[in-house]
Amino acid sequence: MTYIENIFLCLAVPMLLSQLFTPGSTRRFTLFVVLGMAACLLSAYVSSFFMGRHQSDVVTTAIEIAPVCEEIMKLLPLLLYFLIFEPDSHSLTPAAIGIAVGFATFENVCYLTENGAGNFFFLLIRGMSAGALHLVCGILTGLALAYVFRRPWLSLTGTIGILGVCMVLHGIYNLLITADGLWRMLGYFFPSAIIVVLFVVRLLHRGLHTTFH
Amino acid sequence: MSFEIIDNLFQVLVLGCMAVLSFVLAFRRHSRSCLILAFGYASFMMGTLYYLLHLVIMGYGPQIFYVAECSWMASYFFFISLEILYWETLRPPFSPAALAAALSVAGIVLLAQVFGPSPLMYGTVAFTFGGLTYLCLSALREEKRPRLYELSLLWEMALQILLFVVSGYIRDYTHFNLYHFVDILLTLSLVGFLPHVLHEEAP
Repeated sequence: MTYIENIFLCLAVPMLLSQLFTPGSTRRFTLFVVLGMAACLLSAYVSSFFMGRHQSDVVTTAIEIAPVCEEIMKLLPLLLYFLIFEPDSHSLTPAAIGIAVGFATFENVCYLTENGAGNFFFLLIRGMSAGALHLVCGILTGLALAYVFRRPWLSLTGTIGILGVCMVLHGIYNLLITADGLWRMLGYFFPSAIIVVLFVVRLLHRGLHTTFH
Repeated sequence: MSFEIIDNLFQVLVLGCMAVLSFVLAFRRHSRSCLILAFGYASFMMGTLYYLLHLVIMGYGPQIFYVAECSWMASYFFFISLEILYWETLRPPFSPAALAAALSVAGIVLLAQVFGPSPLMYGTVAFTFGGLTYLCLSALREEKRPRLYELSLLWEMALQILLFVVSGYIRDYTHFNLYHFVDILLTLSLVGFLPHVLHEEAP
């Protein structure tokens, strides 16, 4: 049995203490990382609830239930920040990335606690792929909410739409890594490939200010 | 190879190409409509890809939760976003005829339980399709000319409902049948969205 609440406390307390001594944007980013970890903890509870309710096995839960629960839980703190604090477009994407990083970190720590840290190569690939997947979802949500759907009504439909995209992206990743052989390798590398593409697009658009009308 | 896999593969490839094309056009033309449409294509494509991969890897379709359906639903939210973009500076006039049509579409979706059997899912579809029908018919009434995007969206929703109704009567998906015919028609009608949006955007 893994006591994930205890792991959460161990990870979150130093970060929360750092809030007392760090300024502005650093403090905000750290807070979102902690919120991401909290979202991961809560989504584990919600997924377990639905797993028991539908009496599904671990694989089915990972493929069909976890992507929906995790993406909804990950969106909630960002949505709260977006709707209540109404941050400017430049602050929204780092917040989404912070939540994604926190979520991925906590998920990886729980995975290590359960499965051990002996296989360096496998853990490197897993760390990169899971991290990249959550990061892709975070970047996508942040950028879409900040720059594409930031208009009355459009933000409502856009948020639901982006949530659906993140769910299915997560579902495809979980589906691929539960398979064997080539599928699994594909699953491990496709989030990183998306990150590389996004990074190249960012480099190409550096200095260019693209506005959509 | 089962025709279900061929049909889904066709949809994934076609919509994947359309998503890339829409993204490229969105950045070249600085077009928000194309960007939202690209999200719509990508979302629909990924829903089908998830279903297809589940079919190939697990040997059966998803049984418990609605990941693929959520993604298909998400694409309709992007399509409704395009309609909202059209009405941004205007206010949809109240039209009893459009409202009656929207309620009828919502009623059919509820009866057919599209994306069901969860009431949350088919309720959301009914609400979305009803809203889309109202906005599309209002736009057609406002412009007093056949706007191709709205017409093709109405046609696409009709096909989506038909697809679900047909699926209730088909048990064998290994050979080409009416279900695959409607699905291919649905894919091709989705392809038509991009030229229609570009046509409406043209000065």
